[in-house]
Amino acid sequence: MTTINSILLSVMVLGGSLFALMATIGLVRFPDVYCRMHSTAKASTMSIFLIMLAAFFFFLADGHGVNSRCLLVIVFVFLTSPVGAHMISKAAYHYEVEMWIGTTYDELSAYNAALDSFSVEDDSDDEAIKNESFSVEFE
Amino acid sequence: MNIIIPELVLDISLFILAAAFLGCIYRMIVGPSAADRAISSDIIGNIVMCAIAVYSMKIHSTEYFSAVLVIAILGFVGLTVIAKFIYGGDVIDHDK
Amino acid sequence: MIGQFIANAALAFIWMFLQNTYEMPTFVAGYLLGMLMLFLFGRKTGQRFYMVKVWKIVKLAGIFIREMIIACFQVLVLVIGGVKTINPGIIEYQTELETPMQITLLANMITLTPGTITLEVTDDNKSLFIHVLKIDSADSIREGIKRNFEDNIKEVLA
Repeated sequence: MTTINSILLSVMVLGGSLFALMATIGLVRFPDVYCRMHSTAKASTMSIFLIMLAAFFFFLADGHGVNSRCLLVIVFVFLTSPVGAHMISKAAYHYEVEMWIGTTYDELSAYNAALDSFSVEDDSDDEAIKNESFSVEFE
Repeated sequence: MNIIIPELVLDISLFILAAAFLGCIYRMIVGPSAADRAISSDIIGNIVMCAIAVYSMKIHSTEYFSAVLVIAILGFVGLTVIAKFIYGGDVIDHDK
Repeated sequence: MIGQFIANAALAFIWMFLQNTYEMPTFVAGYLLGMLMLFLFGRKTGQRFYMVKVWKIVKLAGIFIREMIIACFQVLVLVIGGVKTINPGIIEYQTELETPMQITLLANMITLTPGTITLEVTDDNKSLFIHVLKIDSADSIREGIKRNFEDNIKEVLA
């Protein structure tokens, strides 16, 4: 194993763990749920990518042959991590988690208000329900 | 056998991953909403996957990569279920 | 397109049978020769050469990875340099894509772009709501998404 490859693999392992540390420092320091999603969805995916790639080349050089599970984990995490971040953000917005004071521009609340007002004004069914009489017979 | 990655590098990266893990625990305790706790549990899953890979590089054995795959799959499924629960309270959609 | 791929693999196997050696380099050589034959004779049947599609998929994956690397470095800079400099906001983005598969791919790529996360997709599949870290860069983000992602996604997924 040449020293260039050794240095490259060491840099990848250290870089992967540093990106994981950056992801959690962002998780601690950002003021808002939606901003924390930015740091975690991107940096943790990157750290998995680097460390699994380093493991793949390590076991290739160590005599264990081609270990395709490492590549499979990379593909899986790339496909599912943005979807997970999107779903949590959407659920948090629907649950009305407060946004940070600094957010200045919100078009989604206008869209949601339009959606809610549209469904509330449609009360043509209410008159039909009011005219029915419900009587309970005691036997 | 020639050295591919020095042991010192693997030890330092395990230490850094442990520090990242502590940060996630802080956010899981303090986080004011359920979404914070859900995302920090997903990040804990990612950190554990990285730590298993680094440790298996240290002991020169490929036995534990199946566990990495299973943690990835279960982490994603758990995150989806919790997000669906926070959103509507109904995890499985029944068509009426 | 699948037919072209199967024909290419069949030509590679025929080459291996002709050479009487069943090793990987022979398979690769037969595959390349089959690609050349399909390229030369494919003009007659009127189909597009399928390697063009493979190249477009590789290009899309390359854009994916490049945007994610830039995003990670932006997170690094923000975490070290000061978290209070951000100015978050939510913007609306109108798309021209139609099928759900294309919109899912677009939402995933937007989530991996520096500074943006997809929040919601409207019911009629017409617009996306994006949470942006710095609201001053909203216009450049709109142009970037339109230029980089939409054309490439339309070429890959028809």
